[in-house]
Amino acid sequence: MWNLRAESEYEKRARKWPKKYHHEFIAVHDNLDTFVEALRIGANLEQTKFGFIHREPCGIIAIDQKGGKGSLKETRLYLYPDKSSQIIHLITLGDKRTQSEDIRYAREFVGGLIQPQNQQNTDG
Amino acid sequence: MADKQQYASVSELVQEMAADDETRAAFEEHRIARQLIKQLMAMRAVRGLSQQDIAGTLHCTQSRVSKLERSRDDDVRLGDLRAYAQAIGCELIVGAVPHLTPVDKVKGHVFAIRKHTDDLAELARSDEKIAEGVARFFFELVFNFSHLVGDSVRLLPRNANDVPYFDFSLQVDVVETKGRPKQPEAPSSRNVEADQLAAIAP
Repeated sequence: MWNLRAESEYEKRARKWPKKYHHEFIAVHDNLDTFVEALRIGANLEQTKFGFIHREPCGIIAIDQKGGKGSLKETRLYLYPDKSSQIIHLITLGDKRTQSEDIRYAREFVGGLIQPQNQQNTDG
Repeated sequence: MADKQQYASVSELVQEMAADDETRAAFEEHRIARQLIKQLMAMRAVRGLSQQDIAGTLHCTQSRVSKLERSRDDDVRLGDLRAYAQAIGCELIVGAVPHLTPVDKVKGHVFAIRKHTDDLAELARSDEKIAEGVARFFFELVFNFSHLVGDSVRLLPRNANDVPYFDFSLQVDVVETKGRPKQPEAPSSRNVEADQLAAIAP
């Protein structure tokens, strides 16, 4: 069963998320909830079609705030679903302004996650 | 990588991560208000369907499907939910049930299971292959169901003398039936303790 893991950068930003953007926080997490529910009941990760999902390089998925009430600021939650461990790594949380930096960070994070796994496979 | 806490649900995650109580409460309220619609959306994803696919089936616009998916359960017409459910190959079951005691709930489920197993037994009359499949399923069901109840029995507290109220041990005899060449795959003509059943049951 898929579980969630709050990584350091995500945790730091979530805990300090500005109160004035709390609708955005709720909307991305509501979308995350739908996404997780879909995976849990057997949706195919690669073929899941939700308007709030953006597929980034290296298997990273960005979930946005679409569907939230009112006119919301562009917000993205970056995550990496690791099929082998059934863990969804929540990497970071940001807005349009931090988007390119967030994607770069997420790619580095996933690189660091995959390398030890590949090493283990080679060693094993 | 250092061990970090894992969360079984987004609700649990938000309760831990949100910056303030207002956000926590608002998230929970929002999540509960959209439970049914989100369940339908998740099912749509399982079927590999897009909003456009649903719109095509329902002869409406994609933006109408999108609007439904953004709604709260209470704000959507029952007919629209039913139509959406049908479009994703599901059945929407709506009913009013009285508040029941835990015992009544268990009894209700047991009677419902009985009805379904009777239906299966009736279906088995139509074809020998179906009958074999149903027999195999019943066999698994007896094992699994007994094992599940056994697990609950073991959760019971002990009585004042520190003795279990009763010991749960299941004994199953599987006897070869004449005229039926194929038997369900299971140990034949021997007794099986409940703990061993876990290894046998799928």
